[in-house]
Amino acid sequence: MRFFKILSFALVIGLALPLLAACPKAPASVVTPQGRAAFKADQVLARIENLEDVVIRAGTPDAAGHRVISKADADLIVGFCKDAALVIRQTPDGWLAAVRVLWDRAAARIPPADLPAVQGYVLMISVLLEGAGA
Amino acid sequence: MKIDPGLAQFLISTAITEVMGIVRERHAATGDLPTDQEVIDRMKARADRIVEKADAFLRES
Repeated sequence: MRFFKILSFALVIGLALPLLAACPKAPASVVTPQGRAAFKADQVLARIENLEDVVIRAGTPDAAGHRVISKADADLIVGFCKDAALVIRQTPDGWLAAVRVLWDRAAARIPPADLPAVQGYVLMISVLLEGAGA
Repeated sequence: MKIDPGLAQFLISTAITEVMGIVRERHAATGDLPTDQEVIDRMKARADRIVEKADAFLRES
């Protein structure tokens, strides 16, 4: 059972990471630089929204009152998602540097003792930002 | 090795999202092509939704 879990996780990681970094190209009907920038920004926002949904679930107590990650850590990551969305909405053609700074600041505030619990989310955001800059 | 169920779910949904993106891209080649303004509006709506969900979560004690 444990081997199956490890294998499943490795397969999902192997499938998801390359896909996460590669956003689809804008359709041919999108012709202006503003439209193409908005399309790419929307692709990034879609992934940020997915991540936000998962972190909110992980930071919300279940019926037994147990959280997958602490509320404080969830607040940090969800707060980053919000700030990133605001920056991207405002400057869809030049948001990457500012969002990287936001993430560096948020990640630096995660207590070292909590890193093992949130390292998957940290990795996802790092991969997303690297992919967006590629 | 302990697997975070939420993270695994996120990775699976990400993979599905990517596949759907590829399907939409193929579909877009044959019709249903968004205009520049539609793409801009869609991006802004998604950003607003992210902010709303974050605000609701951050308000919780």
